[in-house]
Amino acid sequence: MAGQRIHEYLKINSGGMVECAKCGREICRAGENYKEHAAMREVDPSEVPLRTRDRSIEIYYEYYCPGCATLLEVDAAGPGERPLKDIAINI
Amino acid sequence: MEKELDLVKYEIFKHRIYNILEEGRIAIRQVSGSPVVVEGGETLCSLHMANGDPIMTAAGILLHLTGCMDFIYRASEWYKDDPGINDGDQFFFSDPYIGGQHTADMVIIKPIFHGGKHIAWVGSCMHTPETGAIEPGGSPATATEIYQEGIRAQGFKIMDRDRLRPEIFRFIMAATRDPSLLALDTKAKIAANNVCSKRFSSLINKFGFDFVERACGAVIEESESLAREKLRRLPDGSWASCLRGDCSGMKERVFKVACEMTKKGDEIIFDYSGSSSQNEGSINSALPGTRGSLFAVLCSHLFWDIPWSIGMMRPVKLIAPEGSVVNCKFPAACSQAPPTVGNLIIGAALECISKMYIAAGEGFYQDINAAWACGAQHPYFGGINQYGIPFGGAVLDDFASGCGATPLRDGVDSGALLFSPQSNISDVETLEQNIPFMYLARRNATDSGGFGKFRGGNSYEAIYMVYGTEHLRLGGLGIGKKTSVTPGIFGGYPAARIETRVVLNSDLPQWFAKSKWPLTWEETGMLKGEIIDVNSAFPAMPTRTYDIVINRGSGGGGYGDPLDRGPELVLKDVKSFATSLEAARIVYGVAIDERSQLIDYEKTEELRRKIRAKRLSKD
Repeated sequence: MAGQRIHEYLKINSGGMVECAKCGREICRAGENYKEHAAMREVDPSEVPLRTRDRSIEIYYEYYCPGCATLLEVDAAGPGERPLKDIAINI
Repeated sequence: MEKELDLVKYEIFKHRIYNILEEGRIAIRQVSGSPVVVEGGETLCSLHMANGDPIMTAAGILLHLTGCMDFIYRASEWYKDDPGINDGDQFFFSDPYIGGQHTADMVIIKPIFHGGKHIAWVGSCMHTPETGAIEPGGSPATATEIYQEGIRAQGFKIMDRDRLRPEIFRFIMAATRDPSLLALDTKAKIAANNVCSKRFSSLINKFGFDFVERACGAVIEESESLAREKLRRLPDGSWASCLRGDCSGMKERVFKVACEMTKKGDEIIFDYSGSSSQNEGSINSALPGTRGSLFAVLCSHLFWDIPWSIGMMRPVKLIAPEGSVVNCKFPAACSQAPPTVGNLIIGAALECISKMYIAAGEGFYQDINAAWACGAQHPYFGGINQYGIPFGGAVLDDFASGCGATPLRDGVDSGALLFSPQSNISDVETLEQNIPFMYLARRNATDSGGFGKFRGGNSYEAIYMVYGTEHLRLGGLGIGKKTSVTPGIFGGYPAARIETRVVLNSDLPQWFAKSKWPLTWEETGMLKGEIIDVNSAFPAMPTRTYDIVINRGSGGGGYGDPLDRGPELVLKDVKSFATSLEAARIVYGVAIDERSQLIDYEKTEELRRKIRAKRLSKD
C-alpha cells in the first residue's frame, strides 16, 4: 500500500490527504479528524441482535467512506457526544 | 552485560528462574482447593531483587505482575527493623491501596537469604473467593467503603523463621465465610514460596552467588533495553479510546474510562485523565490496580516478546488522576475492579496499541487485536452448601469470554479474559460437586462477539439452578448491560451486552416432572415465578433450591466492515450457531435460506447493495 497507513481502510497519500484505501476517495487533510468528514449515521443498537437496548444511554455512531460506503468505525457513545479523535499520527 | 556475563549461562539462568516460578504456580494449584486457582489458574509467582524490583514473573493472571512488588516495598519500609525480616519469614498482605486489585487478591511474600544475607524476595498471589466482606464472595455490590470489603491485611508475619504462627492463621480463617478454603489457599502460597526459594538457593549453588546477582540485574536491564528498542520501531503519535461502563456497583451510572496514548521516541504515556469521577459503589480501581491492569495489556500485546520485569515499565508513564474511577481515593470501595474498570483500562489501551500497530507497517500487522471481552459479569454467593457447611465464592464462567478479532482471523470463542489468558472454566461436574448448583445448560452464546470482516469470539451462556440448600445469598458483579463495553475496531462492531436473569420460586419441579427444563434465555422467560432481569451488578438476594440463574457474557470486538466477510464464512457461522440468521441478514447482508441452509447469492448481492446505499443516504 503506497502512502502511510493509519487504519485498515485509510492511509495518508503523498498529497497529505487521508484517503480510502479501497476506493481512493480523499476524505480530509492529515491531522484532521476523519470522522468529521466521513459519512455518518446514528444507529439504534437495539436494531442489532443482542446489543444494548436503551437509546437514551447509547447510540452507535457509524462512520463510512463517502465514496464506497465502507464502514470505518463504530463508536458506541452517548447521545450528542462529539466524535472521538482516535488517531493523530506524526508524519 | 556481554563483557561481564557468559551469555549461554545467562540464557540458561533466565529459563531456569522462569521454570522455578512456574513450579511455584504448580505447587499453588496442587495445594489450593479453590476452583478459581486449581482450574481457573488465577495464580502468580514472582522473583524480586532484595529492594523489591521484579526480576521475573510467571503468571496465569497478568493483573498482579506488579502486585507483589508493592507489598515487598511496603514490608521493607515498615518491618525491616521491627519485627525484622529474617530467614524463613513470610508476610501476608491483602490491600488494594498497596498492591493487587481488590481485597480478594491475597499475597504472601518471602525473603530469600544466602549465607545469612538477604538477597532476594519471592512472592505468591492468588484470587481468594471469600474475604469476609459485607456480602459473600469478596466483591460486594453494596460496598461503599473498603472497610466493607473484608480482610485488609497489612503484612502479618504468618511464618516466623519457618514456623506457622497459629494465632495469625486462626485470625485470618475466622474472618471469612469459608475458612477451610482460605486455609488451603494460604498454605498453598506458603508452599509455593518455599518451593521457589529452595530452588533459587539451588540455583545459587549451581551458578555461584556473584553470577546470579549480576544476572538478575541483567534481566531487568535487558527488559528495559528491549522495550525501548521496540518503541523506537513504532511510529510517534497519539491515539485515543473512550469506553463506558453502566453501573456504580450500587446502582445504574454511566461512567467513562478514557485513554490517550502518546508514543514519542522510546517512551510511551497512557493518560487516563478523561475518565469519570469515582463511583460511590465498588466499581472503581485504586492506583495499584490500574497499574496492574495496564501492565496486563502491555505484557500481552505490546511487550509480549520481552521478559516481564520492572525494566519493561521504565519507558512507560501512567497518568491517572486521583478521585477518578481509575484512581479512587481511599477509602473508596474497589472490590469489583478487575472485571469492570480494570477491563475497560485494558480494552482502551489495547485499542490504542492496535491503532498504533497498523501505522507501523507489515511487521506489526499480525499483532493487531480488537478488544477482548471488557464486559464481564459473574454471580457471587455464600451460605450453607449441600453438605451443611458454611461456604462462599463465585461462579467464574466469565473466564470463557470471547477474544478480540484480528486482521487475519476471528477471535477465539470462549477464550479468556485478557487479564488472565491462561484461565480455564471449571468443569460443570466439579462445580456441582463443590457448590450447591446444578447446571441446566452451558454453551457459546450466539451473536455475543462483535460482528466484522473477522468476528470477535463469542462468550459463554450458562443456566443453572440452586440445588441442595435453602440458605444461599446470591449477588453479582459486572458492567455492560446498558453500554457496549467491548469495542470493535476499524468498522468491526462492539460485542453484545452482558445479561443476567434470576428466577425465584420457580415452577421448575413441574418442568422436571415432564422431563423438561429451560435450555435458553427465552425458555427461562416461560417459567412461573419471580423473574428478575438484574442490573450489571446486583446485591445479594436470598435464594434456595430450584431458583434459577441465567448468565450471558460479552464477546470480543469485531475487526473490519462486516460486509467484507465472505458469505461462506457467515453460513458456516450460522450452521455452528455462532451467528444468527437475523445477524447474517441485517449486519452481514447475507441471505441464507433457513430450511436448505444455502446462500442465495443474488439476494445477498442485493442486500449488500441496499445496506451500502442506506449508509450514504441522508435518511
